[in-house]
Amino acid sequence: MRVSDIISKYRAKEETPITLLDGIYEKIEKDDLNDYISLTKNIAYEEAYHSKIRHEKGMPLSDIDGVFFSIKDNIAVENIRMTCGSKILSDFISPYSATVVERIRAKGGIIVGKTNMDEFAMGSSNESSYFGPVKNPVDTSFVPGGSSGGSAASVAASHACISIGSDTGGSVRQPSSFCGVVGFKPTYGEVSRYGLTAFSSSLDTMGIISETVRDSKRVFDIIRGEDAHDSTLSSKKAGKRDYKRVGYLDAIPQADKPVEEIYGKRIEDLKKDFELVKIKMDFIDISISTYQIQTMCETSSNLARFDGIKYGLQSKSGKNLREIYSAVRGDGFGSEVKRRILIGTYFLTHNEGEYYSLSFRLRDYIANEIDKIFENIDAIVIPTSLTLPFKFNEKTSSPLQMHLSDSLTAFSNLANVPAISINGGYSNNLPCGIQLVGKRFDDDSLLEFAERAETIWRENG
Amino acid sequence: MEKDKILLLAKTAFIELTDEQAEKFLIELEEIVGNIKTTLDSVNLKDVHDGDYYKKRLTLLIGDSPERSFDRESMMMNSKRQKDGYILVPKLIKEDK
Repeated sequence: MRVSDIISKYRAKEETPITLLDGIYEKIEKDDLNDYISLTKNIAYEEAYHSKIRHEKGMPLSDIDGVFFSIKDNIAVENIRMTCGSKILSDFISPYSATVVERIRAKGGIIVGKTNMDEFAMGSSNESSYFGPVKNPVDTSFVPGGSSGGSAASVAASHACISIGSDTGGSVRQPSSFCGVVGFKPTYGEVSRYGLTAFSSSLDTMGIISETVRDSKRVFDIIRGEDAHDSTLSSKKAGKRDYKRVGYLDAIPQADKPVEEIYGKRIEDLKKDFELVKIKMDFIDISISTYQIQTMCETSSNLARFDGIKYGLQSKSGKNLREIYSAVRGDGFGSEVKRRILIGTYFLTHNEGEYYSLSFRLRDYIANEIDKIFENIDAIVIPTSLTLPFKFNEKTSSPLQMHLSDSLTAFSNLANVPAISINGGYSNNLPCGIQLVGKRFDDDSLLEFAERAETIWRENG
Repeated sequence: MEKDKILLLAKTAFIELTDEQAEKFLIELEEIVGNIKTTLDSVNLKDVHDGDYYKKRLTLLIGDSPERSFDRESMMMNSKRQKDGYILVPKLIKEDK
């Protein structure tokens, strides 16, 4: 469901936001993908009514007025339940809205509901949600990826035009690859994180999932920019320019064969319009370890706030606060979250946190290596994931294997550079995303390049 | 890593674990932490800079200008144990007998 198609229908008076919304809710129920945790019908119909009036008067608020959004359930919408996919927050009502949500609604965007996700955004298959797994709309026997699995599925199944997700190590790009849609992670500091439940604060980024690059660009221009609630936002901008030299990897040893084949074909397609330059990225393994240390340490601190006293799961009693905290957190968190908190606690307490300190040095190292690569090229093109979508329960028995799903995406969070995944094609009817990575704060030029690549790949079939 | 270590980590992190969970996490933590350590052992730390850039860039503090963001009702709406507008918790200080 493309934004331009919807707006054309409103202009031609073929549909109204209300009639389209009726169809969306019917389809969500019929498809039964479990991509939404909460539907926000009351506010959606109210917003659709106002949007309909504006379109009738020929006075839409913007080019997303009457466009349907899904919001990942770790992003706050005022007076709507926000669970983060966890039992511990299963009845929590948010008292305020995230900045991105306010900006979308101010421009006439309609919130359809809150999407399912891996618990607290920890996972790569959407199987760690307390609310059950999401089915991949491409083939329902496969996972949709994660952690923004519900968001990617909602866009792929036309249950929303756009979804706002979060990306800490690939959580927008990997599910977009698995569901055959576009997933964009901007530079850290471009989009306000106010209202996003913190997983790993130094890496968390809001991200956009859409059917086309153009739609991601549209929404990015609306949600980006300064916000007094987020001190890490930057006003730094790189000048817009045409990309000419593109870096690629000659071989990706751990990638599945179909991924390598599709990647090879897409690189060939780009050779007509761009100068292709072979590059080396020897820091991939280090980036995964660095990512694990940073996220696990930060999550053990960030999730300390969930204690069963002020909000969330409050069913446990005890003789003292320690007993209540431990009982609530023992019952309220799932296995993946507990595992990451325990490892984070280990790293933070082992030798006075030497691993956490080391991880910052390693982040500098990785960022410097990326900067060196970008001295000679404008963008990097690599696969989004080492694998195609996999079946349910295929990787749940090995947390280590699941963590490696972020191998090709985590480095851009660590180096703080923008990246976007575009569908590169299909193998046995399963989609395979190709990722384009740009320089820090070069988001506008990266999106221009991504739009060109998308057109070239579509024309080449 | 011994099982006692897992139980100590769980106690530090305020997470109640069953015996079965502790056994399972012990195996998984050893595998994950072992893998991370093996990877890091392969890095030549002489090439690794001090990391000040990220610490400075990402540890930004906002100006300390207090303002009222939310009313009391909004802040209390998710609290199930409350009395007279306050949250109820177990007694923290023992009374003198």
